[in-house]
Amino acid sequence: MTIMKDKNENKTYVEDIDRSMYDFRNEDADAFRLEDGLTEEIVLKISEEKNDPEWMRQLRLKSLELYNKIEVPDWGPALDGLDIDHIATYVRKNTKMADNWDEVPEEIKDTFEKLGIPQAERKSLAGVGAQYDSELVYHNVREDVAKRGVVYTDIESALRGEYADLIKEKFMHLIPPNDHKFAALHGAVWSGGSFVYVPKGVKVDIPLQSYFRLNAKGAGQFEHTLIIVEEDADLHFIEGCSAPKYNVANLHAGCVELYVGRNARLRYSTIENWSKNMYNLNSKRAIIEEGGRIEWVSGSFGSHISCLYPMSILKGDRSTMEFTGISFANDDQNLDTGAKVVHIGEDTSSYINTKSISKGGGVCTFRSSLSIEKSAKRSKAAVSCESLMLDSESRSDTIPAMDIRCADADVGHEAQIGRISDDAVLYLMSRGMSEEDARALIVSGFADNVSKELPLEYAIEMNNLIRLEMKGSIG
Amino acid sequence: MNGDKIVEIKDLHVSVEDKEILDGVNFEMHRGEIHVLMGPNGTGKSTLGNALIGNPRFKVDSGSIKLKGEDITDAPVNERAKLGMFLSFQNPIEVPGVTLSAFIRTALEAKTGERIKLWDFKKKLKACMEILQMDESYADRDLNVGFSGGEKKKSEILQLLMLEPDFAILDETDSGLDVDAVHTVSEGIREYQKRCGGALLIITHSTKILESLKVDKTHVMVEGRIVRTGDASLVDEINEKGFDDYHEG
Amino acid sequence: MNRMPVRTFNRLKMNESRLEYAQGDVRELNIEESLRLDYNRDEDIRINVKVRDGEELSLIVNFTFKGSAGLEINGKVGRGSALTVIEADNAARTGKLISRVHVSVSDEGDFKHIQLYPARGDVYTDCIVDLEGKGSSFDAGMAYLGRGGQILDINHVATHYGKKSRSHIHADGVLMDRASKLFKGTIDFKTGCAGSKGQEQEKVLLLGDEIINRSIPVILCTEEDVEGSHGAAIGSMDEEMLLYLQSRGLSEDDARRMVIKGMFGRLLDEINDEEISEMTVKQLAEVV
Repeated sequence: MTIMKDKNENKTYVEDIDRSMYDFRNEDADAFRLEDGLTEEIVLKISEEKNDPEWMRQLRLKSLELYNKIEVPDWGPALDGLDIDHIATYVRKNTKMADNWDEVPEEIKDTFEKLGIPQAERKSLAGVGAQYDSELVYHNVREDVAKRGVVYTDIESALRGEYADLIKEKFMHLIPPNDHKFAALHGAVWSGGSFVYVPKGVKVDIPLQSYFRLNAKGAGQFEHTLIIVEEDADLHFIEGCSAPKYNVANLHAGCVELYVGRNARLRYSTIENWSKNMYNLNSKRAIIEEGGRIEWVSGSFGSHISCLYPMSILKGDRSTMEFTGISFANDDQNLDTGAKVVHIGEDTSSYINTKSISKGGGVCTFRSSLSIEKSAKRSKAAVSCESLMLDSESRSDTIPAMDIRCADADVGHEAQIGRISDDAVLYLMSRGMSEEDARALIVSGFADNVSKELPLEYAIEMNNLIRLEMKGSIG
Repeated sequence: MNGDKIVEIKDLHVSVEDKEILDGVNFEMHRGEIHVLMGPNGTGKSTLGNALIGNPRFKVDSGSIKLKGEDITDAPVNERAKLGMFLSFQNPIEVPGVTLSAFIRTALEAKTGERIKLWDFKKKLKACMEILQMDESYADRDLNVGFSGGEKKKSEILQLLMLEPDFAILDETDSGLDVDAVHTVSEGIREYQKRCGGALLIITHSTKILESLKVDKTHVMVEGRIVRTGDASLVDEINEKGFDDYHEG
Repeated sequence: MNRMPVRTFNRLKMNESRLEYAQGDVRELNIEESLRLDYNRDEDIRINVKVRDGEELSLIVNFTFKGSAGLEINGKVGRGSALTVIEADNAARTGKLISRVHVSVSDEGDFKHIQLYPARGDVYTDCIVDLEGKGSSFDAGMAYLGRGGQILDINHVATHYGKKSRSHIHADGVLMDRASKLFKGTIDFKTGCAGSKGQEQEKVLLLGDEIINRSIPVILCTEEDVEGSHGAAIGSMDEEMLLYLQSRGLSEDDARRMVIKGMFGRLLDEINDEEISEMTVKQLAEVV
């Protein structure tokens, strides 16, 4: 559990990282933890604990009702191993949210230091939010950025602040609780997350980052991220997540709602590295106004099961979206990921580019849906997905759906599945590389669609994760 | 030489997406003549070809185009073709499901308005393909689908030979071809000249394709206008000196 | 019917198709030799085809019935043998055409399936092919013309069990008016089918303001040593292509007609059956 200090500091640059650097866990001795399961009583307790406004309390109760009504999806990975009766939906450490790392309890601060968050904040971020189990423990935004009117805070504070009405209008508006069972669950027990508001014309040129750490065993994390980027504004938001491994199921059912204004741009990057006992049933959705642009960059490495299909609604004319994703499923992982896009405005365009890698019995599924409505004249859409199979115990499925109702749409689609070419391995080995290194290098190259879209430190971290997953791939 | 007037272009102004490309082009051609159009890249040579054939993306703002005495400035593309105009495309389009031979036959029938006897057609097609050293199997392949660059250009010249237009524009037909292919293509062009004696406007960068042809006039186009017209010797001059002398300022 | 081997988002309503069709008495045919069937009555026929090892057999079905009919073909392709099934829909009908084909292919056997749907009237087609043998192959070619309020519901599933097996699914079509098409194509590589290749290609020309074009090309894979690919090109008439054709003297209508006919051209050549060709061309000439 102890990690050499020098190794921590160089976290993103050290080549031979191992899982243990994400796997350290803290004892929950001083935590406030609601009992496991999901009842009205528990939901009301959460509401009370958070001092919700009345409309929010009602939303929680309505969501709970929906949760009990809606069936578990009959498609996608089996969720049999997940039993909400054994999940604690709310766990809070005895601490208040700080805007200074020195005020964060030692143990939690250590955790984030091991993950490299304060270091990254000093170096290359405009603001950081850090959530530990159900609550934010740290939130800070650089003064110069705040001065330009950018708001970056936890949702709970925002609910009592200047933008309270705006939040009431937007919260679970894009992803209503009746969308699916886990959206309903989220509505009932959500806690934590971030609220970002970028005013008209403000371009934030360095990223904001929220990091979500789920430490408690058998618990769920249900953070809500709400981002509003006004007309002509620009933002890059990075989301990171991890958890130590336990032998019982943990659950993550977050919700991300993004509002991109006219001619605005939002880039939303995620490096997800949940532990391999995690059910990651996350929902993300963006709506884009005229001339606006959403860019998703998504790397999925962790979790036992993931169901994640960020959706973009291209409502405004000439709005655009680009989705770049990679999934790497290893032993005991079933990563069911992809994207959804709906074209409504004229001259809209979307581009989905994904890669997936399956190894050691892991299952990767690319699942997508592309809808072009009748109103979306002259829209263009392209979907490209490539899958790599590293052995024959693994599985890789591609399930892309298209629904086109506009005659002058232009749609291209390509999918490919294959293996690492023996010739390429031979070639690299002939230049002195070991077989393992050669294969790892080829896989890193395969993943470069995502790594080139990430800030350098994150790209390096991602390559390290790939290298780590590729360990022992020979034999 | 100096047969009937085939083409007459007067003060042609053409724009693409509201940007003026041709700024008053004038020239005329007679039956049997070969004219060469040269000029730096992006100067409007291909625009001229597209405007003459009637590509709707290229808007004629003013001026006129006459073919065999008829004003075709506003005529649709296929009417120009039927009247005897032919453009060899720089990038010939692939048309799946339609064989090269079926296509040429349909085009011939559209032009003449008569059914063509299969036997005569096949015989002529075979003879033309021989001149161009095209393998017979290409006749039954889908039009330009999966053809190499050279094969596509040969397919264009094959259509030229079969359709026998009065006025043909060859837009960079020689670009990207190796020496042998250029030789074969110019063989095809000579055959066309011999057989139909139409007017030929050759847009080119190189002289290789011109070697075995008798050039009557050379036009130099710079920034959307023909800035100089001379005889065949101008081609050599341009090759030596380039276009520097012609730039404004 | 037309159930997908794996399910996806229910919202899309692509997982299975519901249709109302009351099956009548089924006429059963067992064939071991080539057959040309003029399907001119509203009836349900089940054809059991067995191609003996090393032999070749072709089954041509030309639909000319007036109402609704259901065809079922169960085929077994023996070692080193070849089965060709051609379905041509020339039925000027009021009802539905339902076609279900289930074929298993042994070592080095080939199954070729050509389907032409130029006629008016709804089509539901389900084609399940099990590539059981080593070196077995499946080649599907389809062309359709959807118009009016026509429904085309297509499901292809090629499952690779045998080593070095091949599948190629190719569906081209034109959608006009309010036509609605759903193409489901699945290539399923099972563990052990090393060296196999599967390919799906779809090309759709969209020509109507009220069309619905849905596609779900699925690749499932539990074997490392395979190559699978899928490509789709969906869009309106290519203006460059129209210009090129017109520059050779074709009128705009003729050029459009040529492009539409082009969707069927390759398969018609392959079938090389004068009667079917003529009937198909006649159907295509009704439009534009």
